[in-house]
Amino acid sequence: MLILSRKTGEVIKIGDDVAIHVIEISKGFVKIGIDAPEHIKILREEVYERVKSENIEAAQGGVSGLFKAAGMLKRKEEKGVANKE
Amino acid sequence: MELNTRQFGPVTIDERKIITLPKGIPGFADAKKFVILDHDDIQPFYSFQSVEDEKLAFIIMDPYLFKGDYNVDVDSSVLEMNWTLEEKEDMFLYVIINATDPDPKKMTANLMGPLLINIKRNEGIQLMVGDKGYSNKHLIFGKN
Repeated sequence: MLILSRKTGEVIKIGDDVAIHVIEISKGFVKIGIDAPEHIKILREEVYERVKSENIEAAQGGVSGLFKAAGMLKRKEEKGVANKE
Repeated sequence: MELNTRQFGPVTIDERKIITLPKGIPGFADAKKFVILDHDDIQPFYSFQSVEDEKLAFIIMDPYLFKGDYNVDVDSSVLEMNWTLEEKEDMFLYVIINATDPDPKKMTANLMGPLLINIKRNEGIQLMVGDKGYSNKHLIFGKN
């Protein structure tokens, strides 16, 4: 891993299109600004980890509860239609 | 093509309807080919069934049926997939349902990682939504 020290206001360039700006450093937090083309995905790592762990958990799910839930959703839908009329 | 699925037993699938997720699904990096199966008994839920691993399937549904104001920005993912913004009418958003507890009141939807499917191209991607305050465990019935 490449490790660089930067001060507030300084920038790191990655390739031609990506720039990481150090906006503010205080009390153990660093505020970062990122300039990048729109097709480059930028996200906090914990978002990726949460989606991943939820995928793994959801893949274990059974279907037994779905029949009842499907009925509940259909009733909700019918009620919605009735309310509109 | 026949698949012996974990959730619904043997099913015959139409190979022309196979959806490719070039980037896979986090947690299942090798799973890139899926089909959407519908079963009358569980509508409006669908099964998002892996073609490569018969035992792998997710339950998915249209998020607007329980969260009418669900709103995610799909543009960067559209560009990442090399689709065009003009194709938006061919794109559908689904959320993955966690039904590990059979009690519907405990059933949750992952609003943080919706699937965006382009039905004309038969391609899809799982989005990562980190900036809207959406939960990866949003209760479908009841208060969140």
